[in-house]
Amino acid sequence: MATVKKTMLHNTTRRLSLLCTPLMLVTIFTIFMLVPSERVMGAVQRLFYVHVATAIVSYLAFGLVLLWSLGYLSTGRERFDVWQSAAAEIALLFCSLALITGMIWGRSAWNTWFRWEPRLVTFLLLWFIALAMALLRSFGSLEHLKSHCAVLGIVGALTVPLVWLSVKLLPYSEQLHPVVIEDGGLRHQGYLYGLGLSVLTLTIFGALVLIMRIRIGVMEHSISKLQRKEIFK
Amino acid sequence: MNALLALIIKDLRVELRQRDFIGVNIVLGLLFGAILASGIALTSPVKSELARLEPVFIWLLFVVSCTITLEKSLERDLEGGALYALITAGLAPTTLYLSRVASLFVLVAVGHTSSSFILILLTDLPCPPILPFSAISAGVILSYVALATLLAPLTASSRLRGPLFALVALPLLFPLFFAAVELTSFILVVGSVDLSAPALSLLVALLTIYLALGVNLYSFALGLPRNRAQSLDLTRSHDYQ
Repeated sequence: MATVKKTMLHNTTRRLSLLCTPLMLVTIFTIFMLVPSERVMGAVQRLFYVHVATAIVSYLAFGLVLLWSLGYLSTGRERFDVWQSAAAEIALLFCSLALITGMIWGRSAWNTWFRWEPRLVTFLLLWFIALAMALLRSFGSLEHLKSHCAVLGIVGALTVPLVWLSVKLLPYSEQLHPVVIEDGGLRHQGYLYGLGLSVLTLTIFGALVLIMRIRIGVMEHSISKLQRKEIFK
Repeated sequence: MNALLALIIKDLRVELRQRDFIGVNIVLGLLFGAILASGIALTSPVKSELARLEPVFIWLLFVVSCTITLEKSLERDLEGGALYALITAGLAPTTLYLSRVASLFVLVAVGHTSSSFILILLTDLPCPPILPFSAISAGVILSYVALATLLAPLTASSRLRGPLFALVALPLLFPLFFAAVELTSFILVVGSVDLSAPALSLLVALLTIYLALGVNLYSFALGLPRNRAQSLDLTRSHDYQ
């Protein structure tokens, strides 16, 4: 059974990477060659497609953390802990990418690497929450690590919408971050295709990285089980 | 109900005997206020600008002093297995959680009141209206204590302990800090709480969510087995007679 599951993971990784590679190339070509330049910001605006996509993937990762944490606490199955750990790392990775691309874009748009305006601060805090999960995984008590990480995963993931809401409650005048989609900013079809394609590609890429990390987690789990068997022989 | 009250009284008696929680809060208020007052004297900012920053000073002091003292106080519960002994005796984790939240609420409220008073005295800032400020403080303190009581067991047995608690709790505290500062700024200007304020809704939402999470997840935070009820019954089983 375990061998069947490992083969399934291996096959899924292969299929996703075969899908992801050409998709990534098409997306890069579309963003840099086909999508028209924005009138005011010029070429640097193309970071928007990567920035928004990585932000969406990080939100999805937090959602998976919540789901698998609840799964672990309700069933006690170790697979949920392995999946939750992988999802938490993906959330940290994509949060970091969203912050970095946002800062590069912000430097060009606002002439500063970081502004203490609500949406940027929101993402910084999400990054801190993801970092807290990673720190607990690394330094937490080994005895109850899985349940502790699941508890923090639930608390952290449920705080994400509250952080987002606390930002939304601020008056519009205090928000520097552009509200592109809600304000009907993407009028040219090329912008919409670019955004849709980049979101799709980065979501598949995120899924690929997640499954690869899950495979590593499964292998680590198998090794620790074997080591325990050896000790108690 | 009797068990809950008994636990609250026990926790308060222990804290009052040792007096470390309130003592540290007061000393931190004194130190922080002194440092802030000296900084203000050096830079001579405009009084009106300083008054605008007052809510930030008050709630920053609260976050710093409470993070330091709460973690130590909650760690003490786990030392020597005292908490597990109470659970083995038949007390529900929910009762333990609620008793801890209630006793810490009282202690933190006393500490926060005294340190805020010292801060306002040393920095010569305007005193916020007592009743509205007390209402906001009650909501913020209860939310923070509810969250901290749930998170403390996660970090208490780790090798990083104190720093890890701060690293885990502080990112989750931002929405609470934001709501506290917004509401305090409002009452300093207007003099009363606006019941339709979004920040108040956020505070109520946070309080509800953190209490609900604490009640439901505390047994998992303590690392209790899922079939805890079964395992307790085993020790009282007639087979052992």
